[in-house]
Amino acid sequence: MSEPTAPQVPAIPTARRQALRQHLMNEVTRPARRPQRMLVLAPAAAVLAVVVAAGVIAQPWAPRSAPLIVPVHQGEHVGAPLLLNQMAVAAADTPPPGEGEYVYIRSRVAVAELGDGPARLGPAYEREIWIPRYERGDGLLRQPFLELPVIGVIPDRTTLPDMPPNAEVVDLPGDPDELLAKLHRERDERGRGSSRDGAAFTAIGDLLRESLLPPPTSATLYRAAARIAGVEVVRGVTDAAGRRGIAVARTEQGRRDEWIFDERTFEYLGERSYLVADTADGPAGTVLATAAVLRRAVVPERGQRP
Amino acid sequence: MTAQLRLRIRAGDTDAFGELFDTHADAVYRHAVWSEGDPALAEDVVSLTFLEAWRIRASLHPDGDSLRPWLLGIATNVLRNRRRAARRHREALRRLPVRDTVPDFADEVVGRMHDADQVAAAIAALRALRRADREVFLLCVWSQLDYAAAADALGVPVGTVRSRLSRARTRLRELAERELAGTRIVPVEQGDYR
Repeated sequence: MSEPTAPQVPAIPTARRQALRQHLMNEVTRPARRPQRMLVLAPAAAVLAVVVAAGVIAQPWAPRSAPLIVPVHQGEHVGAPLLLNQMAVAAADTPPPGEGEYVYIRSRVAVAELGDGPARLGPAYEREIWIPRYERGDGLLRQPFLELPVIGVIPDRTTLPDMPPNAEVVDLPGDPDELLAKLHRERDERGRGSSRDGAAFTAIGDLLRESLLPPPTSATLYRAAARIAGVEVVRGVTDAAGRRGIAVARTEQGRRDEWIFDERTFEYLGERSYLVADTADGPAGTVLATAAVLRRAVVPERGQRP
Repeated sequence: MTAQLRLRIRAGDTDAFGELFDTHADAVYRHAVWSEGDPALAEDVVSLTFLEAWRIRASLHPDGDSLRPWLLGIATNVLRNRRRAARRHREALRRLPVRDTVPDFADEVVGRMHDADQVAAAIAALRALRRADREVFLLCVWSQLDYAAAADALGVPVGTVRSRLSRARTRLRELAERELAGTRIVPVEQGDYR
């Protein structure tokens, strides 16, 4: 008998099995906040600043590259509500988008994995998403499959089943205070995570990122953001495409998240996230994520590019 | 039936996912114990495997038979890259209830210890295999997947499964003969082969 036979393994003890099942069901029914649309903003922005400073446009963030560290500038708290309200006024002037059943967004993204020493940005990649415009339905995501665990087919196209439509964002309360109250309520229902202000800032960032907003909606989001405590302005920042802009930012637990806008037109350019204090994930300035929105459009079909 | 279950899981139906857990949790657990020999660790692998399955549910192929090969494939990846999987799901793992260390029945424990010895002995033999060969051996022989299912699970061609399995068997045979001759088994270093 040359081959070892399968040794008997007793089943998982019943009580434990129940506990594992319960935990799993809790996890999968946990109300994820727009799970498919989150970029998991972690460490991308600082990379760009360095690249730009060096005058290089190639990809310096190879998979095993050194952590990207950007200078941490002082944020300016007083100017933030002023800037956001200015942006709200400017937004009211932009022309509305055309007709089409899907919202298409192409962006350039790089994020770092956390939890294994100093954060290093992964390679930058392009991400394209098709979001149903009016009705809940299937969306589509195209992005390189970066993870190593390859299970059967490697999807570079993933259907996003039963996705909330872009219209859901458009239909948010038009009153900034009401909108903030709604975001606070959602945070309280989750009952965990960042502070109420931090959660509201993150939620608005998620709404701005992969969506196509009519000007009044953008204006409401900016006005609501202006009311969030701790919001600051950071100047001279760079998005994942190397474009310079002005950032609306907020810092929580040693990490600053920035939304980057064109300084003159206030067009949303992208975002980045980096540490502002020395932590286990790296020293202050370590970039956790960076992104740039390259194209926003309306298209007639899922999978079709503008 | 399975086709419908696949569609429901792809569509994010949590009840369907609960059914999947009920049907296959023990198979995943056994596979993990065979692979690592540690029941506590194997429970984490079960959780991680199903969390991963949920995460990548959209990539599940709509047609096909049993979902066991799919899950065992994910479990194999989790076992191979446990740190990465744990990192990805660290929030969820933090919420995992602590294992009860006080057992309910004393004789159950005795049974478990006996089983644990048996598992340890069998695993020691498999340690002498290269990881990729051991994975195929576990899937095809102990978990009884056919070649096509194992190929699916591992994301490799059927021919590769065949050749790895045959290499595993040859090596096990050699080892058994050598053991009879009183030679010590020298385990192959993990990760020297891909």
